[in-house]
Amino acid sequence: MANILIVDDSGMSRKKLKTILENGSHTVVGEAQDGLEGIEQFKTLAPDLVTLDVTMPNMDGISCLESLLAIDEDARVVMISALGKGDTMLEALNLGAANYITKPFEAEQVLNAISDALNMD
Amino acid sequence: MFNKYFGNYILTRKILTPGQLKQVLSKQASIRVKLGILAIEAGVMTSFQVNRVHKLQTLQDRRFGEIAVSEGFLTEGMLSELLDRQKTSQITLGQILVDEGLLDYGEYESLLADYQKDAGFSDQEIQILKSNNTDAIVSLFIDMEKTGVVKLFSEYIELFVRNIIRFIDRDVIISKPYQADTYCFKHYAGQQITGDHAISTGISADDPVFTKFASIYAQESLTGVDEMARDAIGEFMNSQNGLFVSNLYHKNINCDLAPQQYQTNSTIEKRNQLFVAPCELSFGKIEIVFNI
Ligand SMILES: [Mg+2]
Repeated sequence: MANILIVDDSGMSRKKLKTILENGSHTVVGEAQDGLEGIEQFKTLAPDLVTLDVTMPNMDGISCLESLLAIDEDARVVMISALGKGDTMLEALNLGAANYITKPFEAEQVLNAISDALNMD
Repeated sequence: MFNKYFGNYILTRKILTPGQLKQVLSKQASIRVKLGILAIEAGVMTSFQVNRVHKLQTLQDRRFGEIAVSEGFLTEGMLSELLDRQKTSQITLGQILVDEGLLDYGEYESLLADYQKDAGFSDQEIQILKSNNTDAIVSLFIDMEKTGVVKLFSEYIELFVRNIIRFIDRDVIISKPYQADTYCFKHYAGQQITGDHAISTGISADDPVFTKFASIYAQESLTGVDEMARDAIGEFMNSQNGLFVSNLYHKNINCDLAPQQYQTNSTIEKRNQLFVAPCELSFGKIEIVFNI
């Protein structure tokens, strides 16, 4: 399955996501607490996919998404955020996010979005 | 939901002990609500009339409704309305109290009237409380004119109570919110809403309640206000506010969220209006802060 990097400022959300991903036979290769850390870890770990929160300190998920796609235009990024308003979702998808899930999330929803993103060409 | 508010009143009046109330409420399952109770609650029959019908029922083999109509206590229209309501009604606390012989119909009727008077509800408001409609009930407790920021605050609290019911505790009771110039707290998980509206929002609670709330939301047993507890309540706020901001967006009001933050033993100063909504959960009290 996939090597995944989790970027989220909430320890609780990271922990829940990690459990879901590992139960779905993915490997969580790294956890970052904000956009800046996310970029650093993305460069060193070269994950197959990134789950990316939006509301975070230091650098938010939208700016982080732009940077990730500037580093690798084929980066697969699934946004996972409590902020489910249309313009933010559209902005992320237009920039090149593969999917956008709103919190609180269900395991099935996360795993489906991730397998869709991995099978996308 | 009415059972909770009225149950709370019964405890305050010391009519039952918490243990008795719990036992009484556990009998709720699948008992049919009696028409007499519904008629008293709807204010269409007096306890005297209900007792009279019950007495006649022991003499004649006829239904409650039939007798009530033939005695002129109810019209056919009222009866069919009560029968409709009977189909959808949850068993009320009043019926259990009467069935258990803890109160007679007359005592129930006067207790209900006392409750309405003590809580300051109009006839229409007491009907809303019995309707089990969460949003309407929350709105009822915010007894300020629902325009401008008060409307926004009211919508915020309605959503909040729905989220509490969904994720934390079905036994939530909201009390009347108040306004303040400053607000002191022990533990506070806050988040700023920015954009078209600038609002500081947050939950405040003392140690054990904060910890319990966090344990339920994080689905793990926490022993104190540690990093996981602070984080869990912060993320609860983030979910609440994420939904609130999305709802506003549908009304062409564009807001965003700053990252949530935890603070301890500090004070909040009023911006233009500082609202505090106390919320009683089964394990203690939290306060919802809305500073706009
Ligand atoms: Mg976040």
